[in-house]
Amino acid sequence: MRLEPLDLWLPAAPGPLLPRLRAALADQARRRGATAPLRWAVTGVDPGRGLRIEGVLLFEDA
Amino acid sequence: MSGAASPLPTLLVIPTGIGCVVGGYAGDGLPAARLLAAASGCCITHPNVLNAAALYWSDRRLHYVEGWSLDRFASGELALAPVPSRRIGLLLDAGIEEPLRLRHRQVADACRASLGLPVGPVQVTDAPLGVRLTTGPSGASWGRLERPDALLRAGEALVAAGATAIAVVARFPDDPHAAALAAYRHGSGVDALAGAEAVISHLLVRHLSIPCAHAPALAPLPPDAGLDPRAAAEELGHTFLPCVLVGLSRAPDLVPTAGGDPRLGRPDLLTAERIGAVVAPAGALGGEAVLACVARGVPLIAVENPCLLRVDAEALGLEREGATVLPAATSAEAAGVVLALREGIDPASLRRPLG
Repeated sequence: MRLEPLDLWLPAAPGPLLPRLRAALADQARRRGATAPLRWAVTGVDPGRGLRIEGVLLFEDA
Repeated sequence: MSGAASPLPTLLVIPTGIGCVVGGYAGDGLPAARLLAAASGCCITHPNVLNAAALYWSDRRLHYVEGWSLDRFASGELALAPVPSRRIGLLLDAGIEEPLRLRHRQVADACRASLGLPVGPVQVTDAPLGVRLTTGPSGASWGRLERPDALLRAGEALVAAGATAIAVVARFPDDPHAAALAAYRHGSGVDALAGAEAVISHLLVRHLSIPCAHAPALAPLPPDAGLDPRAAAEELGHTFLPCVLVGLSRAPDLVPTAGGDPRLGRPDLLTAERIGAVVAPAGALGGEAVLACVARGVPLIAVENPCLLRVDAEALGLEREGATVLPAATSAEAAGVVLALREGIDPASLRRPLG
């Protein structure tokens, strides 16, 4: 089991925000082989890149 | 017409480790929480708001809910069942030196003897937890553990020994001369410990599904005549543990909303559907609890409370999504808005010109 930092951008798109955030976090966790995001928040906004999400990913590998 | 209105369960969120002017220090969000509890009759908030090291305030209208479970509650995955008391297991990091460990054991003894709290058993981890403090690109404090497995094993042992809540104390790195610590003590910085504390408690609650909260173990700091009053609560004693034990002593049960738990039928159960308002700093609205409330149509009271972040309702497009965002200049104004909602008064009717 280990913890790693998370830092990603969610580009602007139509639709409700929370489902898009959760989907982006789940996708990032899957790509990195993590179990789940343990803690996250939107910490910044950039007109070009969208929303910045910082957090911690949990890995429950052996 | 007269008589008290029914409580309006209100979620108060002051995110950890982002330097909020109110609530970003040593339990200095507590006066706001007390006021919101009085205005709403039921305020659900997280340890960062209520923990003031050796200082605490116990009020049955204040519900002490750790951040991971608060997010799950706001998302509708957990309900909260009030309890009269609970047995608090004390989880101590093996990295804490023996004299400092003794101080923490004595806090547990004092809370048993002087407050009548059921504290114990005590479990020391089988390896030092290895807390590491980190800072994110935004400047927010985060953190990691070298041995999360040791934390969870100790938690499991406490549950097996009868604990229904866990107060965890991890040894945090001392750096008494760090610029960040000096800024924090002087009221202009970020709580560098807060992010790692949240990671520890999130891990435990996620794994054990019982209330947990964290206190850092640190060597005492040299006295500082310029200490900001908001940071002063952390310099009154040898540990930060008393507030955690008091907070956990009546922390509500965490009841999964799926699965038919018999507690779901209790009339005093708090569910996400009952949340009547969410209160948060206007520039820090990008956390899961706030966004989950907004998604279910709960009015959001956005309080002016400067911090590192600029993640406000406009930046997140919340009003385009149909959110009700009610601005408040102070927590006192937020309490007034909560009281208006509780009494069925449209907050807009209290402003001029009328919209």
